[in-house]
Amino acid sequence: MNTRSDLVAGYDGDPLVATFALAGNWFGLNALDVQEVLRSQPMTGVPGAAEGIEGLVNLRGQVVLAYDLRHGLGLPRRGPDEKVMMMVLGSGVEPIGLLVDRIGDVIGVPASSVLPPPETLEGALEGVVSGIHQMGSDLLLILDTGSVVERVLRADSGPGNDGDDNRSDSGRNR
Amino acid sequence: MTDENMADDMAEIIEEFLVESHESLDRLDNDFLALEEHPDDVETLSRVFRAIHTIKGTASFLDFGQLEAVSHVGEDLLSRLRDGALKLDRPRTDALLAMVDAIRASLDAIEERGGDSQVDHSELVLRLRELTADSGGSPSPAPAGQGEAGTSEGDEDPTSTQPDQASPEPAGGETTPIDPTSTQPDGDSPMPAGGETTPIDPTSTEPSIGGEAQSPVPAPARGGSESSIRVDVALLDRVMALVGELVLARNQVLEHAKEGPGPALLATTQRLNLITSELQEQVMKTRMQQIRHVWSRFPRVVRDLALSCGKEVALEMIGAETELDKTLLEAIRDPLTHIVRNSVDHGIEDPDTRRAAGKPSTGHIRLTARHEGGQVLIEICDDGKGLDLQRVREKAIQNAGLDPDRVMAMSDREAAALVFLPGLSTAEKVTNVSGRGVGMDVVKQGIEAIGGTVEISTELGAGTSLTLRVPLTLAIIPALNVMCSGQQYLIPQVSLVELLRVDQGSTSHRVETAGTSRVFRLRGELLPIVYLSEVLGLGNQALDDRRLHVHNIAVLRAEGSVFGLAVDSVLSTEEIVVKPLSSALRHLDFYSGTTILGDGRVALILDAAGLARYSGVAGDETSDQMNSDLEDGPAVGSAVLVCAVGDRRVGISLAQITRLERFPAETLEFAAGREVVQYRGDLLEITRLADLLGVGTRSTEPETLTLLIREDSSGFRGLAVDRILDLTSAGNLPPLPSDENERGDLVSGSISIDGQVTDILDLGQLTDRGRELAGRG
Repeated sequence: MNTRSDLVAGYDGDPLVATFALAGNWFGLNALDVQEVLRSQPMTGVPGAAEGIEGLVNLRGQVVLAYDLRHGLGLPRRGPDEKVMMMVLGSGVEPIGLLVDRIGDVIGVPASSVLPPPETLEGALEGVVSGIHQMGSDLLLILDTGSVVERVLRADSGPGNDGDDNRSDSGRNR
Repeated sequence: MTDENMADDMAEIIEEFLVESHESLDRLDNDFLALEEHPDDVETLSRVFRAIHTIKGTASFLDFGQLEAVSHVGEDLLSRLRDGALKLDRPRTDALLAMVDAIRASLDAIEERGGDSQVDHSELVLRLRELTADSGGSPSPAPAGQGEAGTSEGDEDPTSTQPDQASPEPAGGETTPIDPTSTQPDGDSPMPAGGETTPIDPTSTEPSIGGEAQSPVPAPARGGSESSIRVDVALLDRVMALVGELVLARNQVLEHAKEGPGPALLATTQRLNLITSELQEQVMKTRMQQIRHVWSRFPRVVRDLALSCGKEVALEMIGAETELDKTLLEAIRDPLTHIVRNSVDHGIEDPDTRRAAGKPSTGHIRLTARHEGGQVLIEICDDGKGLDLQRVREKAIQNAGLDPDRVMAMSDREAAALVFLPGLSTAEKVTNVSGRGVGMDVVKQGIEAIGGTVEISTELGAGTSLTLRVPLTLAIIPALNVMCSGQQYLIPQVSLVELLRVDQGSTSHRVETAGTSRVFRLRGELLPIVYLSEVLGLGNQALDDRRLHVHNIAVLRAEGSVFGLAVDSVLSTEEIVVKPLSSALRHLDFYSGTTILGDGRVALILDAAGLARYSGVAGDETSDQMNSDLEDGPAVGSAVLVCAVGDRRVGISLAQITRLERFPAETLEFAAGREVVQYRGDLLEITRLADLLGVGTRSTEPETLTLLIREDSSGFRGLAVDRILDLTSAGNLPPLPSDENERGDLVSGSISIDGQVTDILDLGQLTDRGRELAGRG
């Protein structure tokens, strides 16, 4: 995989989008926000954390949160045998690992070919899709990095969830 | 030299200029305050003059127009003051302090944007020039603070508002234009130096009266000037030397590793271990800064605030040389500032009220700092009017919606802690300063975010005192590794009091359920027990599965309450590097951070205080009693008597033994199937520890019987050991993992004392078993 700096240095073309697949759909994120991509790592679960937060991962000495983007986008849960890859977003305050099914190519997407998201976008996809692009025969939903990160950090994981935490009820006097 | 290089050099020069100037300014604040007391101190005046002169020179060279202008005119004034041509009176002091603020503002602008053309000091320049012109200059009203949008004094022309200050805010903040027509209450305070700016957005829909509905903007980060640190050269030399030794040790390890394991490799890895520890310690020290770094601003803050409130306040600072980690220092800066301002604004009464109450008209605030038990203790005490707990309770019910019955039933201590709830402010008149009612909860959060605690104690009419406890360093701590539901967790050693192994099969020493709580009777007092698996929402296998009858309990102390945390097993103690918790997880009170274990996996660090709060065992009255009792009683770390029993070494806490006695073997008698001796006019039952531990047969009959006499509820009991080996302090040594099956439940853990494995016995258990055994025998 090309490193970001290779892509960026002297690059003067269309904005780059890093694509990935989730539940048969193609999504994209601003390639400049993606720090790296790796295979699924051993994860430490965080009991009490909101749904969608799969656990914590050791990334070269840094502890990175792993978030299941399927959950964040309201997509069906991953089967036990289905493959998982992790896409690390590195542009924010802390790195965030997004769990996706498959990593696609980094493609140049001219701004002119991006259509605004349809108003009929439902549920969890609402608010995070910044645009739609026709990628060959597939539809590419381009996501807004900031909205995705916010969704992760606020553990606000989509429809029907007002950010309540799945905390055990055994605590008293909360 | 390329343009790039020149730009870099320039940036470096500017960077240095900023750092040095900021340092200079910090000193200047205090110099001016000193001059207020002693206006004729020529030495100080000269020093101040030179400082401003230097700033002016560099500002001119670097072409920072506004900065140059204001420091130039300030220098003129200072020059005449130094020469005795003018007198340093209150208006001049105020103007000069304003100049210091203006310089700071310029520096901040330069840091953020590379230039200060946007800040406008022309107002101030005029004022300073006037004051330099003649000694009878008209006194200006209370100093106009820089940086607070829309501040207007009572008498001043409302259009002569403060220049738009470029106070840098954390990412996302914007400087707001000042609306000269916005109404402000009278008697605003001037903004104290530096990071207190809270611009009020006049375009917000909330009423901006007194800034009541505003949430405080966090103090602007000082960027470059705060990300460097001064280190003692001697300390650096030590670090360098250690690194040199580290390299040598590493080379040796590499050499010996080729030969495979052996005494040589073992020795060099030991050495490597030693050097690493020392290096770690020394490097940690480089991050330590004295708390005076934060306190140095306070005299100015207090002075300005007191003046504007019309009060007289004296500030005393003790222990300014106390050191703490730089990051923590920065983190407590804002909370401390808020507390001090609160004291002046709401705590200390005005002189008349004080005199009427029989107090001296000058209020007193005392800051103390000292090290205590791995933490830094900071106290802020004032002799003001204290908190009206009745009103606090009322506000808590009204504003925070707490249950009235519960609030009224609270002890004074708990009621005082209510001020830390969001939205509570019992201020009569909300001022710009600290009456917004959003302060104390933010203070508490800020302190707790770095692993500290804050407590408040108050007496109506006498004053209020806040105590902050902050960990000495953040990064590396010793922690106990435990297992719960198949996953490892870490408990910081600083919270750990002792470890218990409880046998649920025992009839008297077991975890009991009282209503919805679980308790354990430890040395006569009730210890609340919390099951970690339950807190984590993973069920409670320990209580459900009858076969798991041994419960491992870590007794933790947090925020004054003591409780037992039941886990599946206790592994080991290690030093871990603490890594911050992801912001997505910060709301989970019971985690305080993460770490990476030796095998590369991430593990969560538990927060004792969070666990206590979550389980409702914090601040319990029972816990308070428990706490004081435990503090008096023995903990792991008190004196331990080491004895030989058969081929075993056992350790017994001295507190569990009443006396040591030696009897000639012939005094041993039998009565009702038990061994006894006559003792103090009564028959003393003997229990042989060798029997209880299942240690083979009794060793060679000694001529003397060595007995540990223990007094419990049923009277005196003698426990026979073979030999007393040592009396030692076990310190806070970590217990080694003990094998359950082998030794049964009498052993509460194993410790390495003087390099030898020693089983620690809990005599409370033994007495039960002893009786059982004796009964059968």
